[in-house]
Amino acid sequence: MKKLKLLPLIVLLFTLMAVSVAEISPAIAKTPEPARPIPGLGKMTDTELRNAWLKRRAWYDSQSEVIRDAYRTAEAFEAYIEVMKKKHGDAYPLEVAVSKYYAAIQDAELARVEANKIFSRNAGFNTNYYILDHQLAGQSIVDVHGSLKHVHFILFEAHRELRKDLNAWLRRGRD
Amino acid sequence: VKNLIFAGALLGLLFMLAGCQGEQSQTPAPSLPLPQVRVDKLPTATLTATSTPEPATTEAPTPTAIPQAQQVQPMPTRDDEAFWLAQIETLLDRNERRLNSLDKELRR
Repeated sequence: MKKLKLLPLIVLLFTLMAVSVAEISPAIAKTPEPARPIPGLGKMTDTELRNAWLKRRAWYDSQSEVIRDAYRTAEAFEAYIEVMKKKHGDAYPLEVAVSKYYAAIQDAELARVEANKIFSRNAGFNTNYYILDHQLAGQSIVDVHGSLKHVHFILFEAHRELRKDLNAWLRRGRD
Repeated sequence: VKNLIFAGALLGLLFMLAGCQGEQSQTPAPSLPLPQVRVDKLPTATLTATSTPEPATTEAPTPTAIPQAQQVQPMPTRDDEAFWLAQIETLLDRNERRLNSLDKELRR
């Protein structure tokens, strides 16, 4: 009878042990991750994939800052145009330059929608960006990279053009 | 006595488990905040209709302040020109630097 009384206690004890071992074992196992091939990325481990995804997210956030600053630049440019209009009566080349710049920022924003959708889907990753599906995660990285690269080139070109137009205006002023 | 020993062992095990959990929870799960931009709702320079309207100012401008503001239309000085040019240069430099560093980072 006494043994029967102890039985639930022993069962509970074993359950707790099993749970604790199941929790701890993956942490101490430290088996090397297998690197599996992904089309367009080569062989990558889950950790590498996660890092690549986090890097793309950081890139996306950085682009947000660039776009925010681009709007500030455009506002400063408009203020400069006002000053130039009062001084010279006309600043048509600058107005053309700033309108081109605005159009480019808007293009970049539209191109970002695609990247935004991919990040929102988070396909292949869980909420903490750990891998759920190796192939799907790899595909997400490839897709988002293409989209972010497109935005990057638009912004890069827009800034180069604006600087070129500004320099041309300043040179004209000196001549 | 046996029961006491078992209870003690159980408590000991629970403390061990609690310790393990504590160690695990100390290492924070690395994560990035979700994107600030929502799908199909990208931030633009223009204000949206949903943005909260500014509270109406109760203080009416003094009658002398309005004509003064209308009268004063200063001609742009060289300082204005230099100021806005410096602003543009700074912002352009910052953005170009950011874009270039991203370029290098991604080529790695």
